[in-house]
Amino acid sequence: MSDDQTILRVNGLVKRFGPDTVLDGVDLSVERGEFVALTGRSGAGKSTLIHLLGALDAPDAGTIVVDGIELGSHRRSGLSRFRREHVGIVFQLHNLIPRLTAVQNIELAMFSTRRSRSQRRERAMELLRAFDLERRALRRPPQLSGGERSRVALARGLANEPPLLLADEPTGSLDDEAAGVVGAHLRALADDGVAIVSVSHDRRLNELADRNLKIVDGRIEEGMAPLTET
Amino acid sequence: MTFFGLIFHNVIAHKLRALLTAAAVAIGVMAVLALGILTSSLRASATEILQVGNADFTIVQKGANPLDSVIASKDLTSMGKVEGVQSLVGALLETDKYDSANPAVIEVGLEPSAQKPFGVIILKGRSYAAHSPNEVMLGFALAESIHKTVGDTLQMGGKTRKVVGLYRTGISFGDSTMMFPLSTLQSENQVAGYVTLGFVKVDPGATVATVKNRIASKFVQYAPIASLSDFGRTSNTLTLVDAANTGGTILAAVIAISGVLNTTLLSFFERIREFGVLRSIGWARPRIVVLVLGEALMVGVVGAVFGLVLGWAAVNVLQNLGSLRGYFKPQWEADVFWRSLYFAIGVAIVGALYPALRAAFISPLEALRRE
Repeated sequence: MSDDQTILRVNGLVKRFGPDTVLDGVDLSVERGEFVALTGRSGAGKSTLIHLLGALDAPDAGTIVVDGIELGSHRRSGLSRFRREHVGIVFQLHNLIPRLTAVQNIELAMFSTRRSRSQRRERAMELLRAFDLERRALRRPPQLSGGERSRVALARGLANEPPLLLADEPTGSLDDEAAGVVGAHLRALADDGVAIVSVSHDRRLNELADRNLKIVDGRIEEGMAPLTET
Repeated sequence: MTFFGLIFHNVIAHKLRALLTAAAVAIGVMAVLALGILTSSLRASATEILQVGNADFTIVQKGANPLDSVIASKDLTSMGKVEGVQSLVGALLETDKYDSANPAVIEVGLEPSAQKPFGVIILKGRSYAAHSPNEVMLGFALAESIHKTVGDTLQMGGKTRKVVGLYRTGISFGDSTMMFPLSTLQSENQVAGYVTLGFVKVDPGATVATVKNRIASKFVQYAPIASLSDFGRTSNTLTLVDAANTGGTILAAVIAISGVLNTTLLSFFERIREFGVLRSIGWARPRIVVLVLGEALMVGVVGAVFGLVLGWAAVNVLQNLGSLRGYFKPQWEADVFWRSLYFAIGVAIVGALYPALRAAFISPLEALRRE
């Protein structure tokens, strides 16, 4: 665990796909409880950055330190534990298991932790209550609305109480009303001390962030006003 | 939800695939069970033949199978004089067709005086006369099977015979035979002066091993057999039966493993995105391997249950095959059931191992990109 307020520190991050350099020396620092919104045109490398921060992919150069843990120093087996304990990831398509209920999808993230079966259920229900989904606990994803699915995915990302939440287009597939609800939840989470790095084209969501950053030519430009897709 | 509950849930959610996998395992288990029962039963039959009439040991021609053995009656008479031999009964064994349902009935040629040492107990009627050409006795199981009793006649080999008695021998093999005067059966099969097996009872004060050794050293063309291991050294029949069982088991395993591999690999491709999700939320590789193997194991156990039922049905079919009637009495030993269960577990694990490893080692990002 890091002692200071900085939960995420990225230095000189480079990621190439063949001849294309998508990220070219990204530097980023995020504090606990800070809500950072990343914007940029399609293909700018926003999702790639989220994947790197969530240890779903490996950078070609640079360092990533999350919660005092440098990702490059981990063996592959340690990365599973890192993903389980230190970050929560919310995908645009939610990636819920369709045949499991909402509560089971959340419980899924808590296997391999020290929580007992009843503790897993209790924690999942607590999250569903927090996201106003208690009455949808036993519904399967196809029986939920887009906004509800998004909130279940958010709850799953928070199941193990990670200090950092990564959200890739969390409101991308939602209508305005549902997007507003999800945005409010993200803001509340940040106010409760969870650091959030969100990638979104949603201006209203970006307006809720503490900082708006834009990825341009593989680097981050700071101090931007909330932007939508150009 | 427990991890076991998740495994159960995943199996139930893909019923058709689970059933196909279970079917592959069931076919394998059925084959293993039927072969196992057949093998153990043939072993038991061999033992029964060797222990007929509570003999201490049996004399066979060296290198021959029990039913193919040829022993000169005069040699048997000489053996009866060996020190320590209390009694020695010679029996001629032949097979003949009765009808299409009983194409290979075992015929036993035995002197009336040898019936008691041979273990024959007459249940109904009387013994045949020593040299009667047309009298026959039936084992009670055979009599029931062909619906004959004392006083009936039967047609066999162009001859009409009268059933004069029904008997039992105390061993299932013997109860499905028919019995003739020794001289009659020898003359009809043109083997006058010869028998198939000799059954030896030793004196109360003598040891079986000593008497066996005396006979073995004096009559080198014959083999005294007191156990299955003796039998194995003399004849390769049981070795061949075991080899057929092993070969059949291997073939069944290959077929079942292919079935499990096929369906589990299909499952992997269908669920590839799901495995990516699990990896992205922190599931370690070993847990994913255990998940996939656990699902296969659960299906394998279901397949084992189906396989046992199918195996039981197959054994019943084999038991009623005319060509095996009298030779095949199923021996339902616990060992065969355990073997079938281990087979199902082994097949499920081996068949699912490759898909499980693929699921565990796929890049989460690559998996999440799959549609």
